[in-house]
Amino acid sequence: MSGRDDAWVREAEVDFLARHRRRQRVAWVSRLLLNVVGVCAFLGLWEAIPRVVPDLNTTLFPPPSAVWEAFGPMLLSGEITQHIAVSLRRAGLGFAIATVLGITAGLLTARVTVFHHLSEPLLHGFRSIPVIALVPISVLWLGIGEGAKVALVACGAFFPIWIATFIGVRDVHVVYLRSAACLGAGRLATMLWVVLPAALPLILAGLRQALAVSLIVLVAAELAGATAGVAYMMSMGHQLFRVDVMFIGLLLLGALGFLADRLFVALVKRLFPWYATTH
Amino acid sequence: MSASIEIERVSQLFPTREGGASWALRDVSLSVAAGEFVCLIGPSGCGKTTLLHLVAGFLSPTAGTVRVGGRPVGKPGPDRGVVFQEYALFAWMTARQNIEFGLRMLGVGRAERHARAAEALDRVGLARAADRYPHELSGGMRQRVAVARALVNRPQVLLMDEPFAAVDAMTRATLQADLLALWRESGVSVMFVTHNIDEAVYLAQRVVVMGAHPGTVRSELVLDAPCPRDRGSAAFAGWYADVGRRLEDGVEVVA
Repeated sequence: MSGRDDAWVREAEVDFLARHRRRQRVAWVSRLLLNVVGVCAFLGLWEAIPRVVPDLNTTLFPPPSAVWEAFGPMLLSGEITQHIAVSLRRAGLGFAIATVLGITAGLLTARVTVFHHLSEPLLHGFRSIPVIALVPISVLWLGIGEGAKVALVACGAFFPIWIATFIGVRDVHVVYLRSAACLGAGRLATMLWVVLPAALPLILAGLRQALAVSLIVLVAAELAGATAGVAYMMSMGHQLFRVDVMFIGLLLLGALGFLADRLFVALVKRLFPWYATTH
Repeated sequence: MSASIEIERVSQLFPTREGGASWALRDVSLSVAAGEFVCLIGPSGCGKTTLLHLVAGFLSPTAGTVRVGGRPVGKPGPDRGVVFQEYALFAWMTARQNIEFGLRMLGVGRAERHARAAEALDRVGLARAADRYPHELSGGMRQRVAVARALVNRPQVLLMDEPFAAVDAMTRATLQADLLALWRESGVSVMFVTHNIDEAVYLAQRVVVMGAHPGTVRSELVLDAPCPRDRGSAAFAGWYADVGRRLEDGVEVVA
């Protein structure tokens, strides 16, 4: 009797799991399909507009096929990859500098009262200035070299990281701090093993925001004067009346921003399993 | 028996929002012997948690002295383990890492750390859950890890601040029985804050009844019966009623 029951139980489980997996697969495939359909619909509409709307100048509004025609040779000649590499290097370097400085500043101002009170008015004053407003000054001071662009990106990304870290560290639950103290942790150990990880959700949110800001500042800096880069390529397209090239730049920026954000989320999931599963 | 915790004429004042001063504790004296299990019970505002925080070193008294093992209490330290009501486990560490944290801070070597953490987990019956994060544990399991984390440092005293208040009644009864077993094994002195009469009478060798506004010790009751106690016994019912009456007396003084 019990043997038959066991077989029945096993069969029910196997059956249930098979159906469950099938349902999950169907959901995943249909999501992917709809994603692709959405992109295709957008491209189709874009392609159709110049053919349907009378008197539309395709030089000013090139359809995707025209953009693709311009893209092919630029990609094969290595021109595009070079622009991308230059832009990524500027954004990456600026973002990295901002991350180190922003988290350090956030930790210090949130944990050391003197620094907090010293920086309070300055922080709130400076952070309300859009970094794009600094572009003309940076050109005067630093020229149009790499340093100027990296510095601008770092400036723009610094403030969101500082503020997010500050709030995250300031609001660490007092029970965590007390737990650390009565387990024998000193000031530095508490900072490293308790305060930083406890503030991590907010720090990560700040980093993600800073990533988006980096791209905005990068474009502004490259438009103000550069000799290479995705936005430089667009500004050349502007001067040469090549709207197709400008479109390539727009699509590249969209793709880069999207990929950077996805990469960030994937990295967080991998590095902080406890965070990714709770949020 | 020698005294493990000595609280002498301690007062604690806090500023109120209206600009006055309120007495969380007024002239409180209490001592806990080495290896003794004492429950502090009282209405909210009687300063029982404040008293516990003073022993832990989270606060320093406005007046009076607090000594643990003969030495005045300064900062919090690993000689006094604390178990909080909840949310005290580090969410970014597994159960094992939480337990090993204190040992790491004390500079205990890797091999010994692993061995002691494994033993501590085993003692609270969570050997299987070693690599789970707190959010993957039930409320009762989390408090078991918290107890293991406090005890693995082999503290002189264990301070517990309503540690089982947030778990369901059935789990609480199991946790209480297991705590008694751990207490007897380790020989640690326990100062346990609760607002639950049943809990105090079940656990304590001595119940300290406190009153509010200002926070004071109203009376003490020694329960010289072996543990674990039978909740259905006549003696248990008698103690329960006794503590209840003492608490009501305390409230009347206020009203």
